[in-house]
Amino acid sequence: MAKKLVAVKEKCVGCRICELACSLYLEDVFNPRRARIKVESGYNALDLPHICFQCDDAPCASSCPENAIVREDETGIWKVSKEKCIGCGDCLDVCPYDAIFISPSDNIAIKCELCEGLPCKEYCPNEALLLEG
Amino acid sequence: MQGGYTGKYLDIDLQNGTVKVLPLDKEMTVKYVGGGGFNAKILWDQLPAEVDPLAPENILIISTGPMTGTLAPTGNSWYVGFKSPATGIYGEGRGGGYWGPELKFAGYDYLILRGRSPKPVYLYIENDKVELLPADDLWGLDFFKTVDQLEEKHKGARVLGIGPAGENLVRFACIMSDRYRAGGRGGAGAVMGSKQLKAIAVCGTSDVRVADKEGFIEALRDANKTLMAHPATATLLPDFGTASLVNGMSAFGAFPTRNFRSGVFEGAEKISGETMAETILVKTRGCYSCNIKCTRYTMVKEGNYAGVESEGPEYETVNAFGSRCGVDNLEAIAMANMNANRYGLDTISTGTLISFAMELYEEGILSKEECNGLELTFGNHEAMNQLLEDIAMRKGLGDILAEGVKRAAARIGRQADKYAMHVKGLELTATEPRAAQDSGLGHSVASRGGDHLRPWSPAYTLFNFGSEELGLGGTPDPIVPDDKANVVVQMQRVSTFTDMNGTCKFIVLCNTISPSQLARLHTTITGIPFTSEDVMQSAARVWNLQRALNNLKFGVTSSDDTLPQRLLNEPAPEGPAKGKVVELDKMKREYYQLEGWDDNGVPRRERLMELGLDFVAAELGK
Repeated sequence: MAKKLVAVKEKCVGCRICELACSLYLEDVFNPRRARIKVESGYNALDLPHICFQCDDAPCASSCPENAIVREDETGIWKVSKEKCIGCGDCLDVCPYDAIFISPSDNIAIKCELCEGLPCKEYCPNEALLLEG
Repeated sequence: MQGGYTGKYLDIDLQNGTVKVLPLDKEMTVKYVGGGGFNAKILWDQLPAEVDPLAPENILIISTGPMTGTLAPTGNSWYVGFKSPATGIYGEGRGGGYWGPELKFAGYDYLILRGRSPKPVYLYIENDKVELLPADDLWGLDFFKTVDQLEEKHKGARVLGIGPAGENLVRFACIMSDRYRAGGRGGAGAVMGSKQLKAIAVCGTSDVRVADKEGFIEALRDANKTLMAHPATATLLPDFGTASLVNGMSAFGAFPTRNFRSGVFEGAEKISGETMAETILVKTRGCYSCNIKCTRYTMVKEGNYAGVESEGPEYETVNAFGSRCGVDNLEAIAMANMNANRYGLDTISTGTLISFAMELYEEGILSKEECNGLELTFGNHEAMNQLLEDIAMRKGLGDILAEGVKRAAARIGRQADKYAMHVKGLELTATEPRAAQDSGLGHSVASRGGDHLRPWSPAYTLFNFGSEELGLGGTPDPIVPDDKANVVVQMQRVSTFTDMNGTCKFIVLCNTISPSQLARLHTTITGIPFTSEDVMQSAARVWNLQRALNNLKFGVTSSDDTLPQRLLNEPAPEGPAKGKVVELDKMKREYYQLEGWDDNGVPRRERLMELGLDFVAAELGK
């Protein structure tokens, strides 16, 4: 089974440290819109991290008109090809978990590709992110 | 600009609707850092001294610091600067939540708001798009509804604004953000209301840069390690919130009770953070970039106050609407807290005003008729909650109390001023100074009036959280005045720096993060080399600039650096400080000497020159 990050929404405190750590480690800046994880907050103190679960049957990949989202054989991780992605946003429309985003810096799709070190998980102050598989 | 700062600010004239985008001055960052430093410098340069705080000529600044919107622990703060309608002197408030970081992501370090809009408006900022839009539909709405409507209209935006209290020019109305966060003290909400500006919705997509990523990660890991090893930030605040202080403060005799008649509250346990965790607490949360997570999301599930939901109540609020009003009903306090947030009222000042009125009623100075027909005895929580609404809506007695305790006492006459608990017109906070002498000194000299946070020195004198770098060790005796001036100066510096750099005070409140750790975070993010001495020196510069503003523009002198007569003359009736009054004069003399202030409480020329405030020195004696 492919590894994946999962979020425990009851433990998420809504601080966005995961977003900041992700953008710092992967993009060298602080910018939640360039992070591969996004926390949604709402009424009754809902805090829900959205992150890619590396689905076996991935609608983002099947909807992509450029075949830019491809699964890596050995790890099972879905990766976006920067060269192929045209930033059309079709994948955002079909992802059932709202876990793929368009980066404002270069207008292409970004998603969690399980980077080394997982800074989102490392810096989470309440152990709300778990690595499974 | 290497990192931390966006390098731009907005200068907005509400009168004619013009918006200017201007570059941030490098000297501002090096000398004043941000937040309260920016605010003080801008007010010094641009504010006419004689201006009525509620006139269009008052300036409202909303600023951030270089850490706001970064991964630095608690990098979430926004700061308001203005001439205070409560005190007539330097006004400042700090809020957390999510709004400040969003302003940075939209590309701005601060906003200057001038003039008065001819009609109610709100400001919408989305990156380069900056618009003043009609707020006729929002005017009159409470702050929660204002947030709901603007978040619905502008997806992804964060909202800062005022409730009806600000619109009604209540002199201690807050500016709120993110539903539950307040730039609480001194009446910034009334200034915003006087400008007919209801709210500022902001969203953005730009980067906040870091000058030295690897260095920052190292500094961050070190800071986080300290935070997670310290009992205040690793256990007390996350487990029980700020109200974790309640039981301890009452045991020390330092928990103001019944308008400061006493410092011991017999009902402390019932309104403590521990009780809150067992009863109304639903969930622990954290502001943006906060790993301390002291926020309590609470809900009352049954009984008379069923349905009350908010964040908090915080320690100060528990004291203000709890022991100070003689109330030991946590659910009633939660109700007052929620409504203060909706109306946009400072909970500290509001609780002070209500407990003041309660004492006047019990002393027979105010009749029941004068109290809007309320049986305003200590402990009557229904009356307390009613009076809170009357203050926000300026009804009857509420209209008088809405002027703040100093003005209200003058208006009521009949020696009511004997019961008015304030310094320079700003209502006192939840530390009983007779039981923590240092806190008496701190309140008396603070730049915005009766202020507990610059510094919250009882962390050391009562709770014994010392600091090697600040030279604060051993076991201090809180009820004697000896050596307290130095404690206040040292802790005030660090506290002031967190009012400049964009973090929350809670990373330093209990001497947790040291000046050298602050310096490393600052240097690696901004690329501006700061040592621990620079941290202390820049804080001293800003503190003295705020002081000079008060002295030279607003006429503050040594005689204003005082405390209510009750604390100076009436011995504490019970608790560890029984029989004590605040021995202010001795501490104040030592404090002036350490600060380099003359007998009149004005910074000396040499001191100003040493701090690089030669433009202030040039104004001395004019």
